[in-house]
Amino acid sequence: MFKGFEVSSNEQAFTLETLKSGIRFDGRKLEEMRDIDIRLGDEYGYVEVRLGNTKAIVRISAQLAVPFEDRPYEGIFQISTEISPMAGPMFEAGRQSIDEVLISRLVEKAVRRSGALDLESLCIIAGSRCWAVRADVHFLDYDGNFIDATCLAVMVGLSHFKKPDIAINGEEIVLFSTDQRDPVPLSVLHIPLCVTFAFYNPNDVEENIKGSSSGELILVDPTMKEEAQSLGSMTLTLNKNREICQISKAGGLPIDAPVIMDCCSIAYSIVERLTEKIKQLLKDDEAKRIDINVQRALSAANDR
Amino acid sequence: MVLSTTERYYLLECLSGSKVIRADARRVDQFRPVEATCSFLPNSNGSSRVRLPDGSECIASVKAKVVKVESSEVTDLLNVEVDINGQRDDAEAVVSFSSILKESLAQCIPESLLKLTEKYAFELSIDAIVISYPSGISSFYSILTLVSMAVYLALKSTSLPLLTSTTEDAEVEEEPTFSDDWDLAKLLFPKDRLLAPPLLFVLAMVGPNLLLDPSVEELEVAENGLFVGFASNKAGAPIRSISLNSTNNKGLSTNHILDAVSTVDSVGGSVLKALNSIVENSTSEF
Amino acid sequence: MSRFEIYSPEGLRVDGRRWNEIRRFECRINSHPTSSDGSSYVEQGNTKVLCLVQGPMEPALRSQSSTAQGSLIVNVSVTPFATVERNKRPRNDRRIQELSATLTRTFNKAIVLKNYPRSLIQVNLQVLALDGGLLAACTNATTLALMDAGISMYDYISSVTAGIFDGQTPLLDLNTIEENELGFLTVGVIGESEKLALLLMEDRVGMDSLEKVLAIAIAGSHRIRELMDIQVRNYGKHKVAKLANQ
Repeated sequence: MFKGFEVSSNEQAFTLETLKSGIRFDGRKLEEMRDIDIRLGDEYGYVEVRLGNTKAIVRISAQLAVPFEDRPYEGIFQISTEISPMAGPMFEAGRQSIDEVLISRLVEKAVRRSGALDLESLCIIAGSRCWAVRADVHFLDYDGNFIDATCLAVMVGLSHFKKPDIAINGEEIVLFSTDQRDPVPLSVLHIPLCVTFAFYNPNDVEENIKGSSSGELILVDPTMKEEAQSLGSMTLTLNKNREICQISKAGGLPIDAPVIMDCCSIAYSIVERLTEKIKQLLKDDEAKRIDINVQRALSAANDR
Repeated sequence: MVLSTTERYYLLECLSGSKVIRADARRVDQFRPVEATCSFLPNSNGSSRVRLPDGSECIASVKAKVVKVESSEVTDLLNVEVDINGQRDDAEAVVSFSSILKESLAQCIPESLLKLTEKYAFELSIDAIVISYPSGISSFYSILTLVSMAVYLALKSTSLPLLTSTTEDAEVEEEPTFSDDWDLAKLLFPKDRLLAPPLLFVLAMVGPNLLLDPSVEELEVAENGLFVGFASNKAGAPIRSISLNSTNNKGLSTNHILDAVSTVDSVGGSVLKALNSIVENSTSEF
Repeated sequence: MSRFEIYSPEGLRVDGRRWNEIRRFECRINSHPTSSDGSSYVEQGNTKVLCLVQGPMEPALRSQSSTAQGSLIVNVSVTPFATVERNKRPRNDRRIQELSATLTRTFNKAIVLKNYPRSLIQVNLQVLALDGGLLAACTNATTLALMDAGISMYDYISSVTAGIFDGQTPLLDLNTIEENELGFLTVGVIGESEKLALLLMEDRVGMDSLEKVLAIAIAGSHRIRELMDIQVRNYGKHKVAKLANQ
């Protein structure tokens, strides 16, 4: 996928052989995701996601802003996905490669365009004041499949984040600190999650295009090595309401339509499981925070 | 285009003598055949496509928008942008083409033509896109004639919707309204009036001679060049000297300039007539 | 809600089509014989796209030259007058960049690139008018222009959009009004197969209606392939007749 990482022909042949027998280097099954480790920070809206060796951090923040002229009833939501050389030596600082553009466009489509965040709820005074929510994604380590990790991290971040409470006095907006009033969560309408598939062709090109058999190999959540050897990828974005928010198969190996339908159901089962996991995680975090708050109140009493 | 010494010498010899022999057997004041169509873009008020036999091609579009008039300057109501495929937006040719065209148009379009009511006027956005040009072209100025023809045809085929509200709206709050019927639309440049957009003719100087519509090979041996405007049926401003290649450059004499003006004066009318017949017989197909 | 009725109870769409009808599809190949090695012009309804192909030729840059296979570059430019409201897009517009990358990746697999080592094939697309189905029209125009240039391809790639109305009725080949209202996808089908070289969807569509939409989109693409094939064969015959006369 990214330049500067090449795999020898021997290794390519070896990978294809192992994939044919349904084995991957890290012992996963073909349609299995890597282990996902999500860590929530002490502050609201800070999330660390680890997908195998791929690591990303998301920080959600909000500030008051003036809404766009053509959309006076909506708040602003921006996702910034800049890949720095920190993620790996193949990324150049300052210059956006076409792969980076595609990643940011995809995350944008998956999260923003699908309406995951209710923008109208971010409006404070129509046409003059609104919340501007930003998601800053930092990529710390790259081992394939940035898209799934990013989308997951942004969605967890948005669900976790709380913005300060406000009150409106006529034209004046009063902003309360977290000590004065409990902050309010964002209104997240649904949780879209991405699942990326990589395609391989064990037969020759003519068989893939002209042949009737669909012998293409498809695997979920490719690592960097697998990505480098794949002949194309497809990213599906779904939520647990059985809605597909986005499909992106921008070229690559031609794939039979029924196979794509199968991919959808594989992706759905993954998304269903992940959504549960996220919900549980957020619930646990909330419970922990209440505990701490209670303890603090108690300790304050003891001090006196 | 790279010419060998022999080719260059041969061309110079043929073109600079007292009897000019052009490689494609044209007279000095003869154009190459031009292929053109009009009004093929449904989203634009006027559009045109002009193509030369060497593959150069320009597509132009005119879009009109109703705006509130703030000043009485025509230049504020004209928006001309040229784009040359593969060239940056700030490339010298792109910037200068836009300004040359805008200036010459502003001189020929009276404000009354765009004025709609006392408060409102049409703002014209003219876009010309050079889709292709000969690969060995030594100066973009040689396609200025092509671009000006495309703009001419696009403007000539521009039709604007018929105003149905009053023109005396100084005291009225409402915005102007238009008829939905495009059969009632009016041409921006009515047929019965002499008014027409300007054309720009590029001439190449070789020795004492001036060649109209120089081809790629002729550009390579040209010693200097100039373009001459043609509006209201006579040649005139803008007249400017242009460098057609980077190798040879000689000065223009007064005779050259006078010669250029009289050449354009004599052929301008027939070029205009030919272009007008294209507008009238156009089938709105690409 | 829009002031247009996207799909009337009588089964008619804004422009009077039925659900399974494509828009007027007209195409021409070799529209620019002098200025390019291959060219085409495609009209899909009111969307008009011009495609010029240069090559296979020697690449200008060393980095574009590969000994294993040819390289392909696709440039898309949407003219400022393409939409009803004039809109000048910056050159590094990310949507346009994404579009060119998508086309490049699609045709990388459709062209027999191993036949063109150390060569460059450059595709330039000009969008003259835009009324929905931008990617589809660009794909079809590129297929035709590459064929005109005589570049070996495995098969046609034909493309069309399809959307879903009310989660019930799939609609084929959407225009701008329909695209703004409905969830839709663009497919690129290779030859007469059901294999998808390209599948892009940007709006929410229920998982259970996907199959319906895909089915109609594939059928629509096959229809467009037929129409393109007729044009290519006509042109071929015309050219042969011309040669025979000489």
